[in-house]
Amino acid sequence: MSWPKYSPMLFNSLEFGLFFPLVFLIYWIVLGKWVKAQNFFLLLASYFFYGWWDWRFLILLFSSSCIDFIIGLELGRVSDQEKRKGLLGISILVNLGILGFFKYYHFFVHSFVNAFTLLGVNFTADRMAIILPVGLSFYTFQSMSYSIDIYRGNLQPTRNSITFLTFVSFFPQLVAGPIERASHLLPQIVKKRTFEYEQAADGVRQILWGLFKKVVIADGCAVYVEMVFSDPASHTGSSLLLGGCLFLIQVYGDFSGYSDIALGSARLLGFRLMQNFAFPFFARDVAEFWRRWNISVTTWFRDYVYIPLGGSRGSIWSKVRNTFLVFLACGFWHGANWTFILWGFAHAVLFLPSLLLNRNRQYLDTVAAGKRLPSAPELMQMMKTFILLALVTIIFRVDNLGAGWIYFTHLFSSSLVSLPDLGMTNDFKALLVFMFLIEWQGRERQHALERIETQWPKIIRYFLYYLLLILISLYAKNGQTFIYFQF
Amino acid sequence: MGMKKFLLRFFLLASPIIAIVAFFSIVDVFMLYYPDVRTAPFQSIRFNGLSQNLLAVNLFSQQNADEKYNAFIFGNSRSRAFQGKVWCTYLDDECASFHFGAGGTGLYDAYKKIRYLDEVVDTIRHALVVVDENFLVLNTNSKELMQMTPPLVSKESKFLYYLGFYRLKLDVSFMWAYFDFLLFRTYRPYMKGGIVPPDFKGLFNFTNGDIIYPSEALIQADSSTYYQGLIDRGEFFSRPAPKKEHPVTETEVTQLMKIRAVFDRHKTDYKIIVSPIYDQVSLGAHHLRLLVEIFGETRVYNFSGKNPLTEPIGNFSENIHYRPHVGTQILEQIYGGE
Repeated sequence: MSWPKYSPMLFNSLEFGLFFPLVFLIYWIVLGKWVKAQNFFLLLASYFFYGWWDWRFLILLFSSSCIDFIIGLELGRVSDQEKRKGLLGISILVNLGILGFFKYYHFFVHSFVNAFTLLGVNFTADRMAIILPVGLSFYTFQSMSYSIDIYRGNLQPTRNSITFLTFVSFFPQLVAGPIERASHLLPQIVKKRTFEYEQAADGVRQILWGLFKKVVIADGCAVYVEMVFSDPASHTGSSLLLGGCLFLIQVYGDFSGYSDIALGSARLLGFRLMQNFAFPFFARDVAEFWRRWNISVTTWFRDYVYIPLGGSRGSIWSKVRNTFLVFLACGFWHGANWTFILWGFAHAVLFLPSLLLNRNRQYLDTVAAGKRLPSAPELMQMMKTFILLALVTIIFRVDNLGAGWIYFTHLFSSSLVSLPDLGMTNDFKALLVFMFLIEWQGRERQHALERIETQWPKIIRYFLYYLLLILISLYAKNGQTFIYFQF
Repeated sequence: MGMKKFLLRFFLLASPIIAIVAFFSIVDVFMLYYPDVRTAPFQSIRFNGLSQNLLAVNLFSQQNADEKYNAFIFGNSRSRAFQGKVWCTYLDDECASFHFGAGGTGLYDAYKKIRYLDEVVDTIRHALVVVDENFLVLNTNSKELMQMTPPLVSKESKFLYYLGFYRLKLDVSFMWAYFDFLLFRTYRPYMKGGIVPPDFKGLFNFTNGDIIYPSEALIQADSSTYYQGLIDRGEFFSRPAPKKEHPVTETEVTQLMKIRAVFDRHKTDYKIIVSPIYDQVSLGAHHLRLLVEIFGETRVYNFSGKNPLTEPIGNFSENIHYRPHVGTQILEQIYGGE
């Protein structure tokens, strides 16, 4: 009998709906008194969660974790700077090597062949059938940051292998982040955890909202997005613009929904993961957007790429270079395709003016903080930022640069000044408005439904919970996978 | 203390959902556990979306000990034109047929079922394998739950398969329709997606797995109105339809050869029937050649393309399926001279 192939254990699946409560009960009720037993159990549960997709790749996860664990121990022991550099080099080489092989092999071979074809030299290269391990980009970055932090002296290595393996494989954030820092997560794994009702209840609310964003909003948008991106030539410019906006909402609903479920699940287990999305659609400019979008990845690139390159210190030229490098690297991290690189490039172009004018940190607060509604200029700023980002995100979605060209030439045509016609149902439009309203009222908190128990009457809260459950149930048929699993 | 409060509150919040899942499991709405509507507890409502494939496999596994099936029909929904009862009239007196065909399935499904039969029955005395090009090129398990090969046969995860049904069907619109019908016994148009109308004329034979599609009753009641309706809807497009090339794959070859090996082992009297399809597109030459090479010229009967069976629209219930009387004509052509 051949080993069956399954999709990853999706957070929006019944498999996870059975897996997680079981883990939760054993973790707290059976093992609640022994933190070491809890950690070992978490490790087993995490490996089971990952192996559900393909058990063979547990070997890769385990071996790459072991290498960083050993290198961490050595970095803690060795004081000779050259040796430390060498050890760090090995860690980076191994992690990037794994990532490069599994994620970028085809891209490089293909680009190499194409380059020679352009020079008039034709040859074919045998392609290996390489599967991209789920979550590889996330766990290699998390593991690599551990070695870098120890090298920099920001972190003491852990001597407990179970603790470290649990840190790398912690299932709520294993396959799509947030990418945790060892300095934040490791201490939480080591210390004794106690069950707190308020934390757990809030975790459930965050999971519920995450499921809504994923199942109702993101999967709902996917239908219209697929319609326009599969055949852009047959749609009007305004429909294509709307398609781009819906894709941006889809990515947000998908990825922030995943993050909310991850954070909520972790909270139920007594952990606090870093906030990964801070209501980015209410950003007033692109710089603010990047402080609110995929925070764990952007801060990773900031801390481990941008700042070592010199950051925003130095000459204008070095600022420009560093900005482009970090955005290009971020684009390339998303996938082995020129579209992702161009997407990173476009973001650098959008980001650069505010950096050069020293206005990249002018919006550090939350828009309309303490107020019910934004002012008209704030609303205009948010809308302008949203449209700009939607246009750039189109590049993220198209299959190749040629398809992107077709999309944009049809978008920027006379039909841009017309009413979009994607046949969006009124129900779905209402759901989009509903999502934005709930997100707006919660924008000053960690997630949209945080602390509503202190602000909303019980009857309204329960009405909202059941409404969300019903909506999730209504839209849950497709069971689409999460976009960010491919990264 | 906190945990107790949390679990209690969570249980209270989830209790309506738990109650519904429990109810649907006990009642076995999707007929996962009780294939026969006559033995399922409280089963009194019929649904769209029961898996014919699962129903057939469950039925077979429950009844084979008593019925001792020895003649089998394989194929996709087109195979429904062949009725086991009619087929047996051309075979020996001991014929006990079972219809394994299921909508949307392909060679993978038939291959797995034949391998399964090889394990569980004493003899596969007769077999009809009803194929077409789409059928031959489906060489992996379907991703669509309703068409997926059941785990008893595919040997894939039973747990995931059953979970899939709950995931697919436990939604509010379905449940609303279900309880509405359960309480008021009145069929309303909005229920269309979930509940089978009480006047539905389709028949499932709980002895041998044959299915008669509801269109048959409609055609027999008033064929001219039925066909005029289809013509008005543009159902009968001009033909022959453009041919789509599907290459022969290694998996297809392997699966066909393994089927042949099982038939040889059981000394099966088998016939490979290439379906007559409305589009009048002939089966790809390389597929046909492969069938002949593997099973032999005398075993393969090709009714695809333009021919007297595919010409009259009255031979089709729509542009996909040919009707039972066509199946009978084919059986007559194959067995009549023997």
